[in-house]
Amino acid sequence: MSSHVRILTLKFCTCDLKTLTYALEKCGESYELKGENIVLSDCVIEKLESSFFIRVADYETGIIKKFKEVNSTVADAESKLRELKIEEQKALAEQARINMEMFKVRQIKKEQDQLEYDRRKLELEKQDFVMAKKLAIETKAKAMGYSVKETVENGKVKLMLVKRVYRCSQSMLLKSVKYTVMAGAL
Amino acid sequence: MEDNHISFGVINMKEYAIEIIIDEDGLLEAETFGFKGKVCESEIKELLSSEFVLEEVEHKDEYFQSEDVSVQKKESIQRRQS
Repeated sequence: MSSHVRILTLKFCTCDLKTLTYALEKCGESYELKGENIVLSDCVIEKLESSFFIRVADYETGIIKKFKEVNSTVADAESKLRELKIEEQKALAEQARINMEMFKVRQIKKEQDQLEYDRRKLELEKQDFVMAKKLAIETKAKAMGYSVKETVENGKVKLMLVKRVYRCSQSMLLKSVKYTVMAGAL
Repeated sequence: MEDNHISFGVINMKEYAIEIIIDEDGLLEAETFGFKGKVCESEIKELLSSEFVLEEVEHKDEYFQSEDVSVQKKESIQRRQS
């Protein structure tokens, strides 16, 4: 009696052990890891190079059905993993964009602060300059005999310098001379 | 300051005034009251020349009148370029 058996080598669509074991657990399969192989209750999943295979005779339809079920779950898991990775990358890119925007905002704020600091510094320098000039004018004016009155209007400094000069009238002086001459003649 | 000439019998009192306005940028405007003739200009120069450079002088009509009339003169002076 002779028989012909065809051995099928079925390749799983993942190279990742974790994904494969996750799919086995999800399908309710119990397994045991032996080296690089995964031993199931009725067959062994072997690792050849970087891929996982299952060798099965063509009449073992139960195992073939199990392979299809596990492989389908693996495919779903891989697909979900890909989606998660894409989402993760999008989230990372969004986070990077937000970080960049925040950096720019901080830079602008820093520049604004610097400008404000420079503006205030310039304002103080201007005030010092005006004060110095004002004091110089006041000192000079006082030396020239002026009285100084200072007021501030709309941010402008107003100095009013006043000097009063008293003089004898010329006609009265002439009269005095005349009286003197007359007195001399007498 | 139209009438700044006051007589006290034998003694006359004359009042001279200079109004100076300094703005926030240090720009200065000066206007004189009660001076006659060119003395107002010399007075302003003496007062400000050490600290400022005269940039613009604007004479009012009174400046060209006789010395009996009060002369008024307005001067704009910009701070000296260092």
